[in-house]
Amino acid sequence: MQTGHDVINKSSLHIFRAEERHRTRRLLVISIAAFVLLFAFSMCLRTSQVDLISPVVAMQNLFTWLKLVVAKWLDLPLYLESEAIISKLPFYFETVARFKISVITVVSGMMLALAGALYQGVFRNPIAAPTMLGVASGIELGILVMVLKYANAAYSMTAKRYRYCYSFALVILLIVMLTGKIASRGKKFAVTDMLLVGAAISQIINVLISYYRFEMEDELLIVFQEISSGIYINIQTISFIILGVAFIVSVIPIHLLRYSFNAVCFSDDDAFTMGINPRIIRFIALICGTIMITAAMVHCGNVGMISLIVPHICRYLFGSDFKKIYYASGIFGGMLLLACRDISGLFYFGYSGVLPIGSIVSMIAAPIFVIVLLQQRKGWE
Amino acid sequence: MKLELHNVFCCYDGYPPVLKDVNFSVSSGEICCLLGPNGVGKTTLFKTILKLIKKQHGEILIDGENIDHWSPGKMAKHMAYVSQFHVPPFPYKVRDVVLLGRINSISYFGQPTDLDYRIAEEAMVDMGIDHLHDKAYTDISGGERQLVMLARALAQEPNFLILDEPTANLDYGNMIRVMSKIRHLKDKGIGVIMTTHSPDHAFMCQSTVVMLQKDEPLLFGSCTDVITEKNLKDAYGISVKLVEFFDHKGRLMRMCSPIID
Repeated sequence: MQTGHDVINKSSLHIFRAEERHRTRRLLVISIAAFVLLFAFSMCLRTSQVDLISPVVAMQNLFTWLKLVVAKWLDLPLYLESEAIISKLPFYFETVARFKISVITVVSGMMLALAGALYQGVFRNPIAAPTMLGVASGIELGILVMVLKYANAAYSMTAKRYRYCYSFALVILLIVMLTGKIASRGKKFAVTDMLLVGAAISQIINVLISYYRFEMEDELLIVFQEISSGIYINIQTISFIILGVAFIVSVIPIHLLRYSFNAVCFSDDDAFTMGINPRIIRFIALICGTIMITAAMVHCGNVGMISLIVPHICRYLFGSDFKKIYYASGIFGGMLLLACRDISGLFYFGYSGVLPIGSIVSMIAAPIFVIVLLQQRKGWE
Repeated sequence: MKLELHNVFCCYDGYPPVLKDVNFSVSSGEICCLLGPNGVGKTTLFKTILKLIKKQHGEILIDGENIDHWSPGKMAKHMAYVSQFHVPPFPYKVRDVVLLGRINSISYFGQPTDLDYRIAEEAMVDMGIDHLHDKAYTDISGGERQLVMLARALAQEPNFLILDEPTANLDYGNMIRVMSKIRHLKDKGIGVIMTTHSPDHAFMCQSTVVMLQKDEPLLFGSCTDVITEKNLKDAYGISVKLVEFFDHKGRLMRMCSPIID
């Protein structure tokens, strides 16, 4: 606390701020460049088997696809020749499918990471995960009911499946919130109670799911596994519409409030006396985070681990300011999940040939998590 | 600016009142020390003033205006609070913590402007912590943290500062440094209300004193009137000798010295 020769005057603080802003921007630009490279690489992966195609071919395919999409919208004569054009291009459909899968993966990754950052911030807990409120179990239960009811047809009934997954997630969420409310009777609405209830209810549902899994026929089990672990991904237009709507609805409030989330980092009393109502902030974070995690897990399988580690990586690189975490976790979440998707497409694994993306996420995430925790531990005390 | 409490009864929801019939007032440029034994309700009184818990009865006025229906935003313009425990779970930089004091004028959807950065920097310079600006808040010492919290409260540009035991858990040197900064805030025209366990602090900053006692009406007055050997005996149940002496500039100083049998 000594003052004297090492006091920095105001103007040099100002310079420091500019430098920091510059450094953050540079780091963001590098991350975005890495992201673009990764995305380009994933375009070169084939979907039907483990193989790489030349980047030139991939780009050609993509451009043709874009041209044809525009031509279809604008009713250009080019569209009439589409079949002839496509037949000349090798791996055309695989590239297009890979592109769509990659987009879904990236958007899901972004939402997962953002949801994680939100939950960790508003609960002031470095290991708060948005899956805690039971939505993950709700989605699995939805898929299970769907598979038990329609068997193999579950693959093709996209719209129905979304209805099942979203409504089951919502029902479980409501049960958790109501039970939490009852459990915390007499006190103010205690969020910790809700999280505990969420964990308990998730466990009960998991017991149910594992019982049915044990009882299921092999065929059904494979259908259930492929859908719930994200091996099988829907790339119909409706998937993009639902995911897009969920993304926009949940990201806009977070974008607007991106600085205010810092206010709840100390305590609720502090936030109140600084003029910000922490309950509003937490409520918005809870709603948006839940929408994000639900959408991402419905579309991309059980990959919740991303939401736990990406915010820590971002905090390590960019500092704790939520505004920076917000931008960074979007980029890094998308990047990490896409990398996991690419890895699962690059190697043969086991008997079915594919390792689900969820397993790769856990495999990559666990060591990163340990490293980040060790790095940050001194900061927590 | 004047903060007044009239016949305030404080309690936690559904419990019998902890404090009854609290009356006192603080003006800007004045320090008011709250003394009293543990558990007498000092923090409860603060939370009542800040509207963090509902008061049961009575009124709290700022410049004659009842604050019952003020929004958190309006409250924050007039009062800043430094609570006792404050360690965020994430290693925020010191300058980010101080900048948070500006959040009331930034509001929910805004971003900090150049003016906000400048006010935060001035607050850091004022509290003598500008050399720490790049350190993580979680890495600095307890005394430095207290000064960071004071800087954050100062960046809020309040008329009144409410400090809950600002010198708790500080070593002797840091305690004196924090006290001198609090006196500096008083000279800037801010009204300070603080709790403390040491009657010496009240002498140190020539404050008014509110002495809370269990089941007795509170005592309110200047430090020389309220801090007497009899009152300390009544409030804390210990014998204390008041010592008077002159410092090197010839000013009359007072200190308490407990008598241990």
